[in-house]
Amino acid sequence: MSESPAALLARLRRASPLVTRSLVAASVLGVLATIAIIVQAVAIAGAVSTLVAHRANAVTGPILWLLGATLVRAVAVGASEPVGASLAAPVRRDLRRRALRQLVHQGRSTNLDATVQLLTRGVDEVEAFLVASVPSLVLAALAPLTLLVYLTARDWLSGVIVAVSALLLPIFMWLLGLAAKDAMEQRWRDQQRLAAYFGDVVRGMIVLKSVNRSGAALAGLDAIGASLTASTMATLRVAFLSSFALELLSSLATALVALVLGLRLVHGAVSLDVALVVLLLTPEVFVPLRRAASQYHASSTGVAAAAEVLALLEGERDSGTRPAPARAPRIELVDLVVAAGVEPVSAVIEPGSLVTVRGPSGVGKSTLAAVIAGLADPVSGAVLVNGVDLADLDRDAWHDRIGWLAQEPVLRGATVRDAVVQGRTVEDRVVRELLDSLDLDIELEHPLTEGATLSAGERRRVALAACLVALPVVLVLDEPTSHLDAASEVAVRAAIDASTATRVIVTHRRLVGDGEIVLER
Amino acid sequence: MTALGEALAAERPAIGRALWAGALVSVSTVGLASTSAWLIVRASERPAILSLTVPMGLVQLFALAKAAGRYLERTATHRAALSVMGRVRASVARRLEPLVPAGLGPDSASVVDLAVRDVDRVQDLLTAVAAPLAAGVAGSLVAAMVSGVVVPGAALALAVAVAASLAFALLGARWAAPSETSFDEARAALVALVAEVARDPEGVATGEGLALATGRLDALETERDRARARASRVRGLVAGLVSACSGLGAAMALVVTATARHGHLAAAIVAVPVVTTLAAIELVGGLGPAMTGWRSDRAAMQRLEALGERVAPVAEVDGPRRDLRGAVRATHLRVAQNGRDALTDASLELAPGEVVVIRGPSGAGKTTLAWALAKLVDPTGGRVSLAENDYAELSSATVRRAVGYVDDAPYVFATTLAGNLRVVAPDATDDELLEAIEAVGLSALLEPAGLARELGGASLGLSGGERTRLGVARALLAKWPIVVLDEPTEGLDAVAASRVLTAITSRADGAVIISHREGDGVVATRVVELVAGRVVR
Repeated sequence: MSESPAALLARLRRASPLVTRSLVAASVLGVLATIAIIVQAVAIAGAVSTLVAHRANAVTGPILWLLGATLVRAVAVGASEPVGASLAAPVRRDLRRRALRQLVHQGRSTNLDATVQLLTRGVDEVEAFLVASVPSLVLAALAPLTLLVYLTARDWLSGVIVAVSALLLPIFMWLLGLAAKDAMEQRWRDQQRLAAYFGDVVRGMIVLKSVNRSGAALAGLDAIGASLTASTMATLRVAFLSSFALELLSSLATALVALVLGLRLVHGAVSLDVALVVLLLTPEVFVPLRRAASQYHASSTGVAAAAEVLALLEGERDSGTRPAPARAPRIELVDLVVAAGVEPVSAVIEPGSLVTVRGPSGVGKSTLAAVIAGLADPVSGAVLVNGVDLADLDRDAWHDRIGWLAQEPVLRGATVRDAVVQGRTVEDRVVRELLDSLDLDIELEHPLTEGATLSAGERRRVALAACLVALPVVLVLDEPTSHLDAASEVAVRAAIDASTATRVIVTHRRLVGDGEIVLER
Repeated sequence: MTALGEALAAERPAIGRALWAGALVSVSTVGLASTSAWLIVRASERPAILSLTVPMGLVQLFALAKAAGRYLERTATHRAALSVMGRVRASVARRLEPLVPAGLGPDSASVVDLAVRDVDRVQDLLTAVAAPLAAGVAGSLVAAMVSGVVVPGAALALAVAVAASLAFALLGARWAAPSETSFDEARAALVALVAEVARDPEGVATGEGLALATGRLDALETERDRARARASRVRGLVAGLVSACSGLGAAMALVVTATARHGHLAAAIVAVPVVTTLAAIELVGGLGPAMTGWRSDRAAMQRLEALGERVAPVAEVDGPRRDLRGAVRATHLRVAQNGRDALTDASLELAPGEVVVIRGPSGAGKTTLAWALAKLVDPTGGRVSLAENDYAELSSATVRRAVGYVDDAPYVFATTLAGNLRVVAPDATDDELLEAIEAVGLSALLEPAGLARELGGASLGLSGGERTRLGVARALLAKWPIVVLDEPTEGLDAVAASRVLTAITSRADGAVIISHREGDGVVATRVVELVAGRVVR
């Protein structure tokens, strides 16, 4: 646990001003519910002491008070979740939107699964933290305090007893935590390893079967299960000690208050009415604390996830502000070095011209293409677009105007049409014509879901169609004609030639163009 | 009997202990509330202090018992849940074993993933749903008995309040279900969108891709929020109603007690019905959120049961494990997969020393043919034989000693690089491992920790090409006489692919290589083309 929930909350408030509203709403509803609890207790105590005094008819008043307070409490309790959810939703949307942009700007991640998890479950955890953990933490701070103030005002001695018990709690927890910490972390790691074993056995079953070891692995599961139970229980026993401490303090405080009140009642030092109110309210002091403690585990995953999301967002880089060109621009490369050990290149690419990039394998041709597209930063030197440094351009606007074909294009969407159209409003007729011009005889409805149902050459041409359909002002194409047979290659080259964009094409074949950039080591 | 049912029956003593501990909590919660209220009211009548000794002792006893009981109940419940989950895990793994990979439908990896997650819900089902429900019901019974002894009508008031709050919790789960479903759907679509973006950030960045992606994200978030808002309104309503039950229960208890007081109920016990009612509601109050989880837990258990109803793709043959060497021959194979014929007529012979490359479009049945050759699926027609012995008469173990199979997405175990290789060759020396790693071009993985480098797990994933080569390295180490490899060059560039193919062909006696790469045919002694379940060339 790297960060306390309170510190995280402060960071979240800095990251998103909307968080403050969640805090205020949780506080108001929490205090309202606590006041309703006090009124309920007062009403019940009033009714009981009236009954003890044998004036049965007079209980109507307290019962009406009880019902009124019940209504208020029900509304405050019931409103808490919907209000919390509706206030947390914009925070989550804002975080996810920014995280997605940041993901796109950061480029390909080394671990896809972890990245996807972070943006989906991670951001959801932040929301859950705001909806569930924050109100319970706020309540744990406010409700006991409100109740203690009231208790002390009605009967100071009981107030002191309850306050002392409540104050013992953090000390208890601290001592327990101190004793358990190191051992817990080691055990936690062991458990993770053991728990992963089951997933490993069933997910890697085919590997185990292929060498006739699946039977042995299944037999091992029983032993692993037993030792996992033993080690988890060792951890849980320590964890439950804190809930034991809470429960013990709460019930002992109730018992102690009851005993002391009992003795004082016998001596007439306190009225029955007050004694009952105190007795009813004493356990209520500990309820929010217990709830916060049980939320602690849930909140710790939320805290960890939120810290990661915030770390991702703190990497946000400011974009330039100069407007991106609306027509095919002139692009200059000035002493550009895209990878260590590569000779600097300088070149001028005139508006609407076609320039090829050649060089030996692994020299950084694809990186050069990415640098020109604004997808990667150069090692040194600069790219000027109509005389403006690429770094000073509005990054998103520049990206919007670029048609980029990766060396290994990824098709996004469920069908060929989806992959080309990408949510734009484009008529089917236009898509069809575009595909035909690329010598692609596939249905628009052709599914992409089951992996490689298209050949590498077909995938490449579908991706190219997706580039061209947006009518970009700059085309950066990495090996557009690889995996293509002769006829398709002719069609693709004709389509590229027909474009009026400024075109940069990485290739290992000689193409007829307006110029050539050669990268050398 | 179901997997969960069997596990529950086997862990009956542990479950019994958990239930007893839960009962102790219930008795002492109600006991503490009622004895302390009685003590105070009785004390206000100013009796001799000595007469209060017994209630005072009881108050302290119940207070200690409540705390101790809670601790025992938590530990016993979790112990029982963990033991049950361990058993369910083992039995689910046993059910999956014969089904992998051919018996799990077109997307076996996600079926297995779902099963792993479903098993994890067993703990939730027992600790968060079953245990609180049992405790709530038991506590209410105790409370009803106590208050019923004092004022019979109060037991009825209590029962009504408890039943109402349970009913609201259950109804809430039902009301929230449709919005939970649409929430899950929106969430799944959102995960798919994010995965799509993460796979190709450059492609998304360019050509207005980012604006389109954020637009789709916003639409999905709106859908998700709408579903979430509905669900949270229902949950809020339930929380409010359950809270109201507590106050209404107390009011009813007071009214009934007031009536009884007219009929000369002893003054000292008038507080008992109302406090026991409050204590009982406290015990059932936490059930609302548990009930929402209950429906998805139940769905998870039903999916696990459905695994048991799947038909194993291979009918196991008993018999000694034999060491057979020789040609593998498939003649006029027909194999049904997912309700259709994946292979209609496939014949193939692999003599020792041969390398056969199988090519063909996706869906042509290449993987199914590989499975049939490795006896991972039984043919519905035709036959496969090893050294003239029909597979139908050989045990799987015998076939797999002679014919190895490496799937197209080799699994990376959450262990070291060495562990990931020794899983197929437990006795391999470090030098043999290093040699295999070098042969497939994975030496980069040796940085920085060498063979002890941790693979797998959430943050240490391998790329597709690295996984593919890990599979090939396993094939080299397992030293099968014949090896069938599904797409061993997927995700590799031309140089790496030819290195991998050379490594395979120079070591195995015979190899069947599935590939859709043009260039992979060069290593073959024979290239076979498969189209729509038929060998055409």
